[in-house]
Amino acid sequence: MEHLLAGLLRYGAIAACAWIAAGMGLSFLEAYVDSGPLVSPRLASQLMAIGTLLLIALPVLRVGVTALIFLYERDYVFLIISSTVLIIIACGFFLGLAAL
Amino acid sequence: MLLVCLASLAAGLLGGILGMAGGIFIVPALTLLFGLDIRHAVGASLVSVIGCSCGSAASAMENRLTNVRLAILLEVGTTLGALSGVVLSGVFSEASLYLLFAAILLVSAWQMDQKRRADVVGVAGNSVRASDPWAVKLRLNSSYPEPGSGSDQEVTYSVQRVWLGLLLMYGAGVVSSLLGIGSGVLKVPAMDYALELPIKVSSATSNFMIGVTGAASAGIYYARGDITPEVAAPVALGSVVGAYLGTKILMRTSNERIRGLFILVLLALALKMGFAGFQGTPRSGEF
Repeated sequence: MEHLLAGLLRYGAIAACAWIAAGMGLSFLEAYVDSGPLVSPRLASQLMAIGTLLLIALPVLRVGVTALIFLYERDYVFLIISSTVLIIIACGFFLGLAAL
Repeated sequence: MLLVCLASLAAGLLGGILGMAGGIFIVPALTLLFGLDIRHAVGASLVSVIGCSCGSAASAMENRLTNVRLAILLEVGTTLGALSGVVLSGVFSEASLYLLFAAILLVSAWQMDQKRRADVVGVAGNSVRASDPWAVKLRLNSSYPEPGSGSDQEVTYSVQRVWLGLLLMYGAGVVSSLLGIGSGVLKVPAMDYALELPIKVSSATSNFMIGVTGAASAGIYYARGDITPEVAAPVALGSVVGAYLGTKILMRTSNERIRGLFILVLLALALKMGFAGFQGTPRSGEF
């Protein structure tokens, strides 16, 4: 189980970082080189936003995968526990949206 | 932007070694050095917290330091705490929070020091004794490899006082979402003291959990629109890399030295926080 999760974390983190790095790289490029009509000026911002969102989603995904593993292992007690965590996080998110 | 990234790398490195997420350094850095307002600083810091957690957890997991079951169980506590924290954020004055935090840091430093003295005799620092029946019921007791001369020896440990741990995690979650830190500073001593885990396991498990707590809080902040990608993104990147490197170092140092380092950091932070509390809410340039 540990290996699967470690792998997910590692590749997920790398993916998120790659997005962010791409966004950052693009914004540097825009500062020095006029990219003109090829690239929308907001692309860098959007890339970074996606990367950031990916990173936020990672731990949630991780809990999700852990829950699935417990399901596979028929560990129902921990399946319930990890699902509870997911529900709490979801509630929080909607709480935040509602507060707007 | 590059500076922000590098600063986060440093914070992540320190955090990775100590089993915390470095968010404690990020918030002051963002508000003082870069002049960001507190709310967005906390938001960005939360993302960094997640970055640190992911960066370090992957490497610690390979070494089987992290107790996943325990982490998931405790995460119920921390996420509930994170929600409560956001709800409560309107109630507490910031100055009072800083003071409260400074107090908690001092207590933690004291606790760790006590444990350190008691530990000097043993090598691994935790003997296998009858554990909390809940720990047995939920199969939380485990073992981890300790790098010894030649081959790694497997060190078994047991978990104590699960309910106290949960309660403390709830508190840690509240503080985490209020101040934008990972609360590793609260989680690790809590696990070390209440649950009586070997410190390296505490560090690794805490790092694992911190990501979830951070994500819970960050998700809410994001939904409210309190996170600016231009700041949060480089912070996240620096944190991930820094934390990854920091944890590599974690595996190689002794339980002893980690506690010593931890105590120093706690004391330094307590001073800083107390100062901030007495001065009132710190604005840019007022430290």
